[in-house]
Amino acid sequence: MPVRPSELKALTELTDEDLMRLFQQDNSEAAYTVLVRRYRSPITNFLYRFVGNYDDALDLAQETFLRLYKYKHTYHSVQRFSTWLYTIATNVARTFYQQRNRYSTASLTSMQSSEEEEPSEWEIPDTSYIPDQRVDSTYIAQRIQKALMQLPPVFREAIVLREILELSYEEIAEVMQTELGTVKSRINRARQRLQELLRDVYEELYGTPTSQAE
Amino acid sequence: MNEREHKNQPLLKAFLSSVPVPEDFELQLWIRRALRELPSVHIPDTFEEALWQRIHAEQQINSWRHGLAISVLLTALWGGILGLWPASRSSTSVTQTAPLRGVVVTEPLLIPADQRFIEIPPQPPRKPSLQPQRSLMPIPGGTNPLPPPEE
Repeated sequence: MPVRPSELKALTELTDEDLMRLFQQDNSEAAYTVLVRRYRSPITNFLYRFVGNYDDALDLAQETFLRLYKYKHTYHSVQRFSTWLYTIATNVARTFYQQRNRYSTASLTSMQSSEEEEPSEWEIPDTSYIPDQRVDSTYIAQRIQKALMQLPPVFREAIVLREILELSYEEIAEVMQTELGTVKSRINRARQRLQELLRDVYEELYGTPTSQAE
Repeated sequence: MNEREHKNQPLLKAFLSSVPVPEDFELQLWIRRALRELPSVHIPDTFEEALWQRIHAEQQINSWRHGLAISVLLTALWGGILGLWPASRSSTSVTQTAPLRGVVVTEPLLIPADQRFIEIPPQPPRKPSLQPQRSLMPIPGGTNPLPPPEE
């Protein structure tokens, strides 16, 4: 690694956007390294929850940071850096899925489906999921991840961005390059599906859910 | 003021029905909490090292591609110059100088003499060509020739 620790320490106080400006203008590898260290964990987490495989997630996270390095000139300071980076990660994950399912009949255009549309053929849930003990060591974590993998990718993408990365609806709309209404609809439908898929786990733990209406 | 508000409360309560809580409220809450509590993925210590290796490899490939593109361009330019150079010379010397083409020596074609073509028919003697009309016209300010003698 060509960056000195003292150089990094001086930059840790800077905002993402300032670091990105430094990286763009001076080609500062120190600024780039600080950004990588700041985002490697959330990006890898997002990708793992999306693809369900630890090794693939690590590889795709590296691909995301590689694209950040390569296409730094495409970032505009008016954008929020985190949103821009998550957009890259989402595109990387989509490409990965497209390549994996390249023999299926659907195309990427279905990613832009409107709010009213049902998930298209592209959005085939991943049935090849094998629990990864290195990440999800508990039974509940494995069951939740399995349920996530059973969601169509666009639903999974939306729910992971919302519930795990805790992005706002507006940020998710920007990352997914879609309408705000579509995002809300996808998140709601993802929650409904997860309820169906995880009800038995909940009942095992707490018994039958009770109403609090009265 | 506070007393009035207090008096209005039972009235409001009577008019506004309580919001129904869905049956699966707890389940939904549990799922959201469980999603947020999912364990974080461990990042190996070699993550950055591997990333820099990929970046350097990518840069090497790019510089190699760049070099290749330049060499292809130079080769094409050189080839073009070589190809155009003979064409720029006179057409008589093309056969001698054209690259990749040997000089083809052809023997002269001998055709037997035919009398019909050799014999030249007698031709009438050629009349001397008439002087152009313009020369007979008087030239203003110059020496004009005399008109031909009348018979």
